[in-house]
This record gives sequence, C-alpha cells and structure tokens, in this order.
Amino acid sequence: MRQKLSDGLLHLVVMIGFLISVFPIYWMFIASTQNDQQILGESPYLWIGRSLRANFHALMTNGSVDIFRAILNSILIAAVTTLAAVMFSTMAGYAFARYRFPGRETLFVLVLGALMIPAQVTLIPLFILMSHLHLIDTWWSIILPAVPSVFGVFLMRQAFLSFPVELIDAARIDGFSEAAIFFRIVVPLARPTISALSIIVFLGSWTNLLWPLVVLNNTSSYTIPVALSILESVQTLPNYGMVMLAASIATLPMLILFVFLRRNFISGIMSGYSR
Amino acid sequence: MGVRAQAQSLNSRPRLRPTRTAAPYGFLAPFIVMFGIFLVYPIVYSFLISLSHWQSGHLVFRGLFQYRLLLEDGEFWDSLLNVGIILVVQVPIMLGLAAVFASLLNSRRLRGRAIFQLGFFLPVLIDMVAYSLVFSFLLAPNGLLNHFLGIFGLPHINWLNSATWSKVAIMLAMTWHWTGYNVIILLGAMQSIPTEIYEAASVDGANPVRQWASITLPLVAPILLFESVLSTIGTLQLFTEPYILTAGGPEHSSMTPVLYLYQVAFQQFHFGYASAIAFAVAILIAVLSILQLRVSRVRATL
Repeated sequence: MRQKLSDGLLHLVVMIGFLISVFPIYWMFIASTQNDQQILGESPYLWIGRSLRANFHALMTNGSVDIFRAILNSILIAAVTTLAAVMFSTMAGYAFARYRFPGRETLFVLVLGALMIPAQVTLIPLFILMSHLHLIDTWWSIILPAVPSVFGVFLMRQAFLSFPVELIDAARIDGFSEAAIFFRIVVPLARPTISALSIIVFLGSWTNLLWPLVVLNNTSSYTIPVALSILESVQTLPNYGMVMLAASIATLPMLILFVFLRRNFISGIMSGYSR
Repeated sequence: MGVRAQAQSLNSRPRLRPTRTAAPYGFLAPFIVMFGIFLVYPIVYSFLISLSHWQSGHLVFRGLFQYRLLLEDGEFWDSLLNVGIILVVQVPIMLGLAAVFASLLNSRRLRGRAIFQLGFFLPVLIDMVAYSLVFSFLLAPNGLLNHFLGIFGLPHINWLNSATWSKVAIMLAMTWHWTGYNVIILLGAMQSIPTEIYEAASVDGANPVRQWASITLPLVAPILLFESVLSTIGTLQLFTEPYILTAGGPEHSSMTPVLYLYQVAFQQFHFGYASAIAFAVAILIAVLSILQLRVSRVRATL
C-alpha cells in the first residue's frame, strides 16, 4: 500500500514537472494559429485556432524581417563556424596534448587565461575591428570571432591526453607523416568528442543574440535571434500570433536536428561538465 | 580541474619526447592566429579603451577615470544588485529543482522514463529569444499565468511592468529554460553510479531516502558545484531575457550589467565607459568562480 502510494506520488510530481517543461512549447505552436483575441483575450484558449493562414500572411508581408532568410543565414553561419572552430580546436588540442615543443607552456597558459575572460570584454574592440575591416553586416563578422574556441581546445586536449600512444608510434614506424597520422588515425578515433564539441559550438552560434545584434543592421543579414527580437520591437500594431508563428518556425530546425542527433546532443551537453 | 592542476598535468607527461618536427606548430597555427586576432588583441585593446576617453575614433588616455565614474554610477550598482538577487534566489531554486527531478527521473520505479526525460530536455532546444517571447505573452497582464492564478482566486500580477515583479518574471523564465539542462547533466552523473553500490546499501538495510542522501547526493555533488559555477557566470552575463522581456525596466528594476553595457556602448556610444563596465564584470566573474571553487575545496577537505 505504502509502496503504491509513493509510486503514485513519484509519477504525479514528475508529470507536473514534465507538463511545465512542455507546456510553453506547446503553447508557442498553438498560439501561432490563433488571433490576438485568443492569445491575450479575457478568456484563455488552449487549442488550435483558425488564424494560421492570416498569421503566415502577416509574417511574409511584415516588411522588416524575412524569417526564412534568417533561418538560412543562421544555418550557414552556424555550419561554417562549427566546421572551422572544431577543426582548429582539434588540431590545437592535439598539438598541446601530444607534442613537446618550445613555447608550449607559455602558449597554453595564455589560452588558459583567455578561458577566464567573458565574451563581453571583446565586444567593443571587435566592433571597431570589424568596422575597419568593412565586415559589419556580413556573415564573416559573426563567424570569425567565434572560430577561436578556447573551450574547444581544452576539450580536445583532454580527449587526446588519454589517446593510445602506441597507435601513433606504430604509425610513425610505418612511415606515416605527422599530418597523415592526425587526419587518418587520430581524428576518426576522436569522433565522439568531436561530435560533442560540434553540437556545443553549433548551439552557441545558433542562440547568440548580443554580438549579432551589434554588427547586423540589414534585414538580409539577420540571424534568427536578431530577426525575432526585431520582429517584436518594430511592431506598431500588435500581432502576437505572427510573432509566435515566427518563433515556432525558427524553432523547427533545432528540433529536426535533435531528432537526428539525439545522442550527440546529450553527450555534447554532458562533455561541457566532465572537464 | 583548476588552472594550476591543468598546468601541472602539462608537465607530468613523461612519455612525450621533444619533437624535432615543425608539426606541432603547423597544428597550432590556424588556432593561434585566430586566437591572437580575435581574442588576445581585443582583450588588450579593450583594456586600453577602458583607460581612455573615446573621441571620434581616437583614444585620449584618462587613467582610471572611467572606473572612478563607474563606482559612483547608481544604475551600474543597481544592475549588479539585480543580478545579485537573481543569483542568490534563482540559482539555488533551479539547482534544487534539478537535483530533485534528476533523482526522480533516475528512479527505476518510474514508468515512461524516456518520454519524461525528453520532455525535460525540450526547453534546451528552444532559442533564447523565442522562449523569452513566449514568456512575454504568458506573463502579460492578460496572459495565461494570470488566468491560471485567477482560478485559485489570486489577484492578477503585473509581471513585466512592476519594479517588484520584473525580476521574478525573469527568474521564472530562466528557471523554465535552464532547469531541464541541469537535470540532464545530473541525470547523466547519477546513471554512471554503479548499481552495485546501491545493492550493497540495500543489503545493509538502507532505505531509498537514506541511499539517496548517502550515495547519490555526495557522488553528484561535484557536478552540482560545477553547475553552480556555470550558472553564476551565466547569471552575471544575463542579457537576452531582460532585453526581450523587460528591456531592463521598469526603472532599472531588471537592468543587468551586460544589458547596461550594451546600451552604453551601442546606443550611447561611450566606448571607454562601456569597456570599464566590461572589465568590472569580468573581474567579478573571475573572483566569484574562484571563490566558489575554493569554498568547495575547503569543504571537501573537512
């Protein structure tokens, strides 16, 4: 009897937490089909409305934000950032973990130091730098500063510290060049860590608002977070359904990615903690 | 692993022989070049700007003038106080909730674990701006949360436009978004505890609550500590939620240092002053995270 009671309580508490976690997401999708009366009216409405078409039309003709363009921008920026950041971090992490060379300690301490400094410190100098390079309003202004991932170097170095040395030595005896050892033996075996880091970098690029807000001023260059924030701020007439539709559409790529890469997401988030 | 431990582990690898090839430099070059241009140079430059007055593209050296100004700036202190309050209230609540739900989700008696876990993970996938927008509607005067409170006869609360409630609104939103994230990490740590330990404890007659208190909690304590350090850093850097939900208002009641920095730098274009804010926040973050790790180390040795 007592066992049953505590089992019931367990399921009830977990259920409440589950509903609170899921409800705002459910509501976001539902609200994108509703009109303003249903979203912020006198009586709440919790089911699919009939205004999806109207909201979609409003979103397409709003004139300040092109949500599909923003999704494309976000995907391409995050993809290029991830590719470059992960590759450079993997190479640097490998060098720190697997070689002894003059200047290693100094460089490593410098990199360690940078890990302690929050990103906002570089905001203003980067803005000035990007202005001088005439990169304001371009993808490069977002991608370039995100490429040197100090965290990535640490994560990869950590992974390579426990990498079997025998494999590398054997490959050297077989006459492999250092580059061949890295690309043909080390990288394939480090794939779990590499994919975890990829997820971390991708998510970081995808959700970044502050820096893109500073350097992007043009509708055609907006990323998703910037586009959503602008959509909310430029509205003169309230159109809440349209905003929720935009938020829903912007959420879909990440949900789809998650469906395909579920394990990597979890391990990516975990690896940030296992240092 | 602390900075010193990292540095030590660097020197204690006897198997590595000094290499005569240029290979390590080749592997390091792309990262180091980008690191120098887009991280080291901006950090140094930022510090120089914070010691100067920015005049039409030129730096006029002013020493610690900006920092002295900062010490007397009420809005800056308000913003620090705001994140301080959020830090002290929200982070413990969130981590407490995360510990409870991770433990419950780890229970073998729970049916449908996979689906529940997925539900807790979902908020992580929602973009910060998107979820802030959702909450700006849910917390509106006529929003769902107030309707919900009405069911219990509670009065409507002006979540986003009152100085008392604006911080609470931000904390609610943050807790929704980040609790699941922390649950997933704690759950991972709990699942890696060998079941033999629990079996041995059962044999010794320890009930589930006792097992939780003497096995689960101590073993995930380091993860909880790490989560608290990361949450502290994240809270001190809070920007997106107040930017979307309240714009720092009303009357700075939800202003945060980074939002203030953004306004000073890119709406008023006081680069020197904004850089001083940035460094003040950086120092605060460094001090607090070192302090947290220190305290835990002292506690661990007791």
